[in-house]
Amino acid sequence: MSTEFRALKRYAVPQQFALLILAALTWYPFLFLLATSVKSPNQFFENYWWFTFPFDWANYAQVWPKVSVAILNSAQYSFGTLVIVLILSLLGGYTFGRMKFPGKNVAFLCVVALLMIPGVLTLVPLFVEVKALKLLGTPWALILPFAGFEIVIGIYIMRLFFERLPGELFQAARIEGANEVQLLLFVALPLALPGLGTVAILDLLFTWNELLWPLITVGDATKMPVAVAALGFKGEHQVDYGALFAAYVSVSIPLMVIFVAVVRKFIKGIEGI
Amino acid sequence: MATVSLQNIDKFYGRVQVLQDINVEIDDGDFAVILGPSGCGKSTLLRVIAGLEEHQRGDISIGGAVMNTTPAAERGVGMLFQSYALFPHLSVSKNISFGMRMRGESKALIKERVANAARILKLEPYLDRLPKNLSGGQRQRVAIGRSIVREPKVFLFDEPLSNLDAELRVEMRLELAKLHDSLAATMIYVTHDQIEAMTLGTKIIVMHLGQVQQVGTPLQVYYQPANRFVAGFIGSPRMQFLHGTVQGVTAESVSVSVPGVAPGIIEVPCEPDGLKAGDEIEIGIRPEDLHYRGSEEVRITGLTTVVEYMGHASYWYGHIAQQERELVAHLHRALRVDRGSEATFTLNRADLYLFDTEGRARRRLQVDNENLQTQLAAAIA
Repeated sequence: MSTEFRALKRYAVPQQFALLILAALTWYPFLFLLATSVKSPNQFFENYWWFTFPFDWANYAQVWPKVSVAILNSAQYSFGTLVIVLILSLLGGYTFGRMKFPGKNVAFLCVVALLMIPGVLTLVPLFVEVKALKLLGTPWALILPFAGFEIVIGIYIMRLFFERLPGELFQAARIEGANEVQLLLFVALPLALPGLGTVAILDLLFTWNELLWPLITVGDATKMPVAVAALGFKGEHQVDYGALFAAYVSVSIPLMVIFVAVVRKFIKGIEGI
Repeated sequence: MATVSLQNIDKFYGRVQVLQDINVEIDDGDFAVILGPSGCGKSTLLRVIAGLEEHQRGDISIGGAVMNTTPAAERGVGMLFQSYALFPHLSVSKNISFGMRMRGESKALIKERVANAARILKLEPYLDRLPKNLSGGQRQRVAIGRSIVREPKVFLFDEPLSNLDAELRVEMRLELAKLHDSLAATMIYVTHDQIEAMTLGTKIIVMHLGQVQQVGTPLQVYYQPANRFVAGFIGSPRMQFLHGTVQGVTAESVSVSVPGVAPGIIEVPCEPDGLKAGDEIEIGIRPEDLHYRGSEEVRITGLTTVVEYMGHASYWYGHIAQQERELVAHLHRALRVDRGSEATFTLNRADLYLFDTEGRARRRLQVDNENLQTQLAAAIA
């Protein structure tokens, strides 16, 4: 038995125990969310910490009419943002990652510097701008600012991704006669899919969960995205925790399904960076 | 098929000059090998020919047309990269037909050429596979296939065998030689491996520090190296150099004395080319020219430090009195020499190489090798 293996074995039990505690700490809020979402108000006050039986599905029935509308709204906002972010991240990342031009690094620094600006500082100027462009009340009031925030990290990730792809692939394509557009469509794009998957996941997480900006700009209750709609179940004087948490669970499911579907690509993309 | 002419090529990376006044003529159908150690500029030169890198001065002509600013795709070259550069998301047939599809060739033509390439390269069973499901040798063949379907005027190879294991490398080397014969195409091949260069090339371009050191047939660079660098680079084990002094010259020989080497004055048959009595020189000795206890007139005795028994041959390493440098000799595989014992070797004075203090070689005059003469005659033809 190697020394290494013996050392591993010696620490195995405390290590596993520590991991178990960490896993429990991570998982408990989700379990708490699930447990509360299937409790009646009485059950909630009877047993605060854990599941109670029988499950009360009334909360879901109560929130679904509003939540389903919000999910559709959010899908619209997120999809619109995603399309813009993916196209611009691909183009920007490719340009910064694979092309040579004077001032490239300065231009890139200018883009990355945007990451340093706290989002909250931009709320007022952004609101004034969106209002001046007469976009308030339209989906673009959410889609364009969301895309504006997300393309920065998107371009950053895609640049790193493209820089790590072997240059010989692009040179080979060039020698074979591919023009710039063909290079982008037939070489860069297929190779960039894992990277784009990563950008897409990060973008979806952001747009789906964003609360503050929609709260400020969306006045119409029927156009609320999920984060704002879910918050709506928290009344002014009392909180219906069962309904609130059922709404949280409902709005999380689409994102979870998407994440599970693309998690392998996501990890591949992160490895590629 | 085409000639390639490089005239006065200079290339800089910032202030660093990586190619210096490169002048090379490559004939139609030549298999030209650019040979040199790492960092000598050989791959850069190939990339300049391909159009993947710009050069600052000089002219590149392919098939008689100057291509200095012509984009890579329009130079009519096919290139094989060290990493093969296969598109990982495309099947073998899509990889092979990539260039034709990008140029919008007809489907019928693409199908015909891909089938033809697959047959030549024995890739027919693998056409639908992705590159990741192929062996190194198969990937190499796909990369070759991608080049040949476009029927380029010139093939460029950038160390294409260096990622293969030793056995496969020998196999692919033979296949490349056959490919050159069957296509009769002009090929330019970059390598640091002198065996590849000697076995594949019809012309070898030896490079060092961004400069061409010598252009010649494989045996020419072996038997008539232009300078000390080429002499030391070609041959394995390397040529060994010993200090000496010129004692006298005639039109066809230089008499030298070399400490530790008998007789005291050796008449080396070579062109003196400016050497005179009293000049410092170096003589070069190839390990394979030394014969243990032989009968030739030049004798060297050394103290054995190590003997490597390789099986097919042995290599003797030892010190010579009055010389700081170690000598290496080729021993017959059946011979045994003990460490610490004295060993005497002999060699023919015509097998000596002579270099001046600047490293320039003197032309040897009694090189008697039929293969060299045949290669030279073929090169002239």
